[in-house]
Amino acid sequence: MSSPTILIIDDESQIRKMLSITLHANDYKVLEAPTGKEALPLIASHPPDLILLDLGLPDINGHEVLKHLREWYTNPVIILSVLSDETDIIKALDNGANDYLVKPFRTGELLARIRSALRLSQTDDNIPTGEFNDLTIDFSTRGQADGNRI
Amino acid sequence: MDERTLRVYLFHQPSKKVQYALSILAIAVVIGIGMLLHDWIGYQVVALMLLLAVSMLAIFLDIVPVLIAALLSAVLWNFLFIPPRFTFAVGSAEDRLLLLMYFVIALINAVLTYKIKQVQKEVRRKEAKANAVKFYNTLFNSLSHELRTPITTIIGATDNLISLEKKLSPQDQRTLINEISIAGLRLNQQVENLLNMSRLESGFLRVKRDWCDIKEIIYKTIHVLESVLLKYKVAVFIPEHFPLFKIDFGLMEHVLYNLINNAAIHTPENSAITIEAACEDNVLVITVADDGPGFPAAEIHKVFDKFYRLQGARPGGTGLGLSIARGFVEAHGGSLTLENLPVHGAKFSIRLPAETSSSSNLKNE
Repeated sequence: MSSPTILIIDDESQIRKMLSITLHANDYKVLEAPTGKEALPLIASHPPDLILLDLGLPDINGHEVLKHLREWYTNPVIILSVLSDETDIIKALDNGANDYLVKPFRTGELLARIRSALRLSQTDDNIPTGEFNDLTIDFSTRGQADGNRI
Repeated sequence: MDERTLRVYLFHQPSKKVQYALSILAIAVVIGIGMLLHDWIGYQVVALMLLLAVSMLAIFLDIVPVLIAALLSAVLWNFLFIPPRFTFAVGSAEDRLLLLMYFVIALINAVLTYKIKQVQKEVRRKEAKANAVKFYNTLFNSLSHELRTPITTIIGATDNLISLEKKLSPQDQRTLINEISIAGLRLNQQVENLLNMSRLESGFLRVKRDWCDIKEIIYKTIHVLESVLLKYKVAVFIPEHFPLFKIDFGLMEHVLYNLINNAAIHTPENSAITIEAACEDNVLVITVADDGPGFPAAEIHKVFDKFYRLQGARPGGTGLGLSIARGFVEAHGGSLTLENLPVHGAKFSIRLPAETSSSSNLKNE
């Protein structure tokens, strides 16, 4: 299997550089976007396997980016934020984030959480679609495609 | 009288002594008028005039001076007007009732006005508290972002260097070390800003004036900012034989650092930053101008406010730099102003009244 692609959305170039070197060294492919506006079309054209999202973006608030994303993007999203309030964490997880790490974080923990999130989503992908007669159920998207009708 | 002065007039209370003097004076004046008009008006009308005076006082003064005015006016009215006059005796039962009612109405007036004032005070106090909470939340968020971002970079980069050393290319290792250094400097600058702000706020800032070479301050600052200014066109204009000035080198270096750094942060790369020094009648004038987009008209008067950041400003910065710069210049007895340039760009002007070497015995060698 080819190495997974991870998109870093953070307005701080320092954080992007540090994360991108970390991820490269761990054999991930890396995409970067400094703003929500630049991130959304990039995700549409090159859907990454996982997104690291900062909540304090200058243009669109991270929570909003997450909501937009979740309308069609199903791969894992991990929030990296300086906000450590329980309310922020709950809001992000309820809006569809898979995990939440408060900055500053340790690199080992971040890598472990990335592996964990990817494992879960890949297991999802590996779940075979269930076929019953001419009805196909896709467990990963929780959708269904039927030959004729239900 | 515009609304603001009216508000000040209504809500700024004079000192206690002035209040007592005012209440006694007002009653004395009304009593005097009453005495003059006594032949034409009845003593009941005098009571109404006094009541009016006490009510007016209740609007402007604290409760105690108003109560004193109420008591004083009741006693004087009784003594000077109620028959038999010039005695404290009250002749008829009707007058006794009038006197009692006068006193009660004056008291009610004073107390009610006092209560309204208390309610207003409470409302204002709550508003101020809500604003303070909002202010500190914004401050706390921007500070935690400004301090935690470089810390995250340092921890992440060092974790990498320690555990992934073999996997990192030499170039990546250099990049990480460079990022650690930038983050360290950034943290240092934030801490420095916070410390300077508290120095200014506590009033313990002392200006240590000594003879300074302005050229040296400017070039030293530019040298410190070298890595930032590499992508900008920086020009410095200082007249030949520029005199020495008696100012605080450290503080002025900090002011210039904040102004030049600010110009670089808020203009696109390759912008021109022009620093000029001049001496006008023992006033040192240093200007820092850029040809960037300038400041939005709606926000230009707010940029010196503590913790103020422009709408949609680039990340980095707590909104302290310019307010510290202004504080340091004002500590010198000078002024720091900002204007947008006619076509594009902005110009900060420092004006410092200072002793110069050309005006004193010291010669510039």
